[in-house]
Amino acid sequence: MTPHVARAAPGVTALGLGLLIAWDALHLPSPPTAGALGPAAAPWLLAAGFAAIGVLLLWRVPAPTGVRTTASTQRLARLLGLLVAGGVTLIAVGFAPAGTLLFAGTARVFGSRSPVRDLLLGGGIAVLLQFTFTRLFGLPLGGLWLDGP
Amino acid sequence: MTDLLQRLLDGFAVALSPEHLAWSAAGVTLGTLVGVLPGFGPALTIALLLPLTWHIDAGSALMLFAGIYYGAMYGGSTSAILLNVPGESATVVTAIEGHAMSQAGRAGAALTTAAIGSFVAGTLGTVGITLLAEPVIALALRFGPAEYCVLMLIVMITVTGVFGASRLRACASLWIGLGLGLVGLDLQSGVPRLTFGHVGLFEGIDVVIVAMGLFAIGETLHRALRADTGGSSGPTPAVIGRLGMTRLEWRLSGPAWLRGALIGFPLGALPAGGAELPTFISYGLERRLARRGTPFGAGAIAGVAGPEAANNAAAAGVLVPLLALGLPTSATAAILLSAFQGYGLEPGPALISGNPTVFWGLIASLYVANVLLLVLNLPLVGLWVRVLRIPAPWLQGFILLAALLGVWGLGRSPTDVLLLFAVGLLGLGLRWYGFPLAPVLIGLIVGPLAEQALRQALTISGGAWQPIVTRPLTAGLLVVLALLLLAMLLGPIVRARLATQRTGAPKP
Repeated sequence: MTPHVARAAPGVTALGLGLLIAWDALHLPSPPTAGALGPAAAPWLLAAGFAAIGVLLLWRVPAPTGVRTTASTQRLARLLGLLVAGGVTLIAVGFAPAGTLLFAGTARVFGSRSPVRDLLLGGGIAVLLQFTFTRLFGLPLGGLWLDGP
Repeated sequence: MTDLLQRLLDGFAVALSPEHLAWSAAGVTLGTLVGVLPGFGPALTIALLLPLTWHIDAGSALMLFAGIYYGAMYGGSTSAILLNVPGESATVVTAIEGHAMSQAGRAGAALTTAAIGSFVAGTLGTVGITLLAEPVIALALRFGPAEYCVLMLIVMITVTGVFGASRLRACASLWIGLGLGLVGLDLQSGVPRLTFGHVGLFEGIDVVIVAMGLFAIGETLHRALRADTGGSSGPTPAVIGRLGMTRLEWRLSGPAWLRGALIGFPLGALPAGGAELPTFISYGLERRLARRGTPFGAGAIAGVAGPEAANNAAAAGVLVPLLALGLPTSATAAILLSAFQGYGLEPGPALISGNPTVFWGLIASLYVANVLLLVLNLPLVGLWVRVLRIPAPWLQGFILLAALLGVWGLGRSPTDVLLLFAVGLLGLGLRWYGFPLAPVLIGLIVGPLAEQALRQALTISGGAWQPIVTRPLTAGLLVVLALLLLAMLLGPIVRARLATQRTGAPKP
């Protein structure tokens, strides 16, 4: 991303959100139960606000507050990939494996160099949490045997 | 007054029952822990525990949350003093003098003044809540939906003025929160808004998802992207040394605690609350009042005592509008309000008259929490130091795991997980560009309430605006709102003029 694009991103995003909300408001029906102020009133106000904020943000362009390097961008990319993998594992297999993967993977991304210890620790925490949620609080988290019969 | 004392005593009878005492103790311990750990915070912790606590009674859950809230305020100072890493945004000022003291080998005295100051101010603040709750609630009884709507607008306007360095960015954050709050079925007409045909969004976006996304996922992604983080271990905590204070340190701390409490409580109780501003004011005051030769910037104990007291008193003050009017003025207060709502409780007149046991039990539990914190904090400081030695990669891993657990526990919904990641990316963007996060949560919670109140007011008035705006109370609040808006718009212009006058006319 060039510096110009990076600095314009918040303003453009706000304008985009304004357009999206306006498009939704345009398609909202107004049933007789709606009362004096229909369901579209708040979205229109919101869309107008986003448009104004977008213009102001483009006018007084905010600069990013941090410094990133190629290494830190790669770290972010790895973490995002890990989140996607964790989400897929969670939905497909259940919480304990997803939690283990996420814990060990995140530790690795943030500089840990002992994957076996991270996996064991992450697995222990995830299994303990799944057991606690399921057996003590009656909140099944899906997958494996930990949810019980 | 006798009636008030009686009600408070009844509250103590509830709060001191073994079960409730255990929940309070669990709350303050957990609160201190998350206050000590950078990256966690009371808002995130309470949001994480929300799905779990639906299985216990409302009184116990609220006492647990109140303990976490007070505990986090205490705990935040430990990492600020020992590591120069504020665990909470309100302890940024504590880090200045507190860490300087710890580098000079006086960490023990800094921790002691912070803990006792927090106790003194927290207790004074709780006395303030006890005395103010009923009068404010009596005033609230005169409020109709129109007044509530204007009050909520005042809260939204003032939070954009308080949070963050730029009002435009705070306003944008608030607007994002309002947008997120709009997603789902419109309660009055049943029309789905901003759902784009996705049935999973009909119930709206849960506050837990937004809190986890912003504070857990967003923060971790931000840490990954920043070039200056990502090391395998954090800084090593300073050596604590002797915990006691010298006679001079007691003499310097005492008045600073009281001044901090007097600054913090009213500022916290105003709709423009938040605990950050009072700490800065208190630090400035202590610096001004200090005798010549006081080592400000190099470890002045009054610079720890005052802001820490202000921070805790403000935290108590924030509970006044929350409990008496149902108005959240900080991110944690917004999550607390959603906890009340989850139990079908409505803070304000309905709570005190409908559930006096819960209300007065909660107030009494705040006193109990303060005592528990004093008892827990100083003797257990060694434990908190060990907590600070947890390697950063493990801490980040646990934060992500906890976020996933909190959201998956809501209802095992893939939509929720997708939303969590989307809000996480939003949180990354907001942090990267310096947008404050608290207004997002306040907009999310207060926005739908304000819209509902306005529509109720219009239904009562038969759709006419005039009877609403000409009600004396509404008109008075509208004038306050207009003045606030004017002050926000003109403030920067006036400040720029004054700065120009002070430095002389700009050269052509």
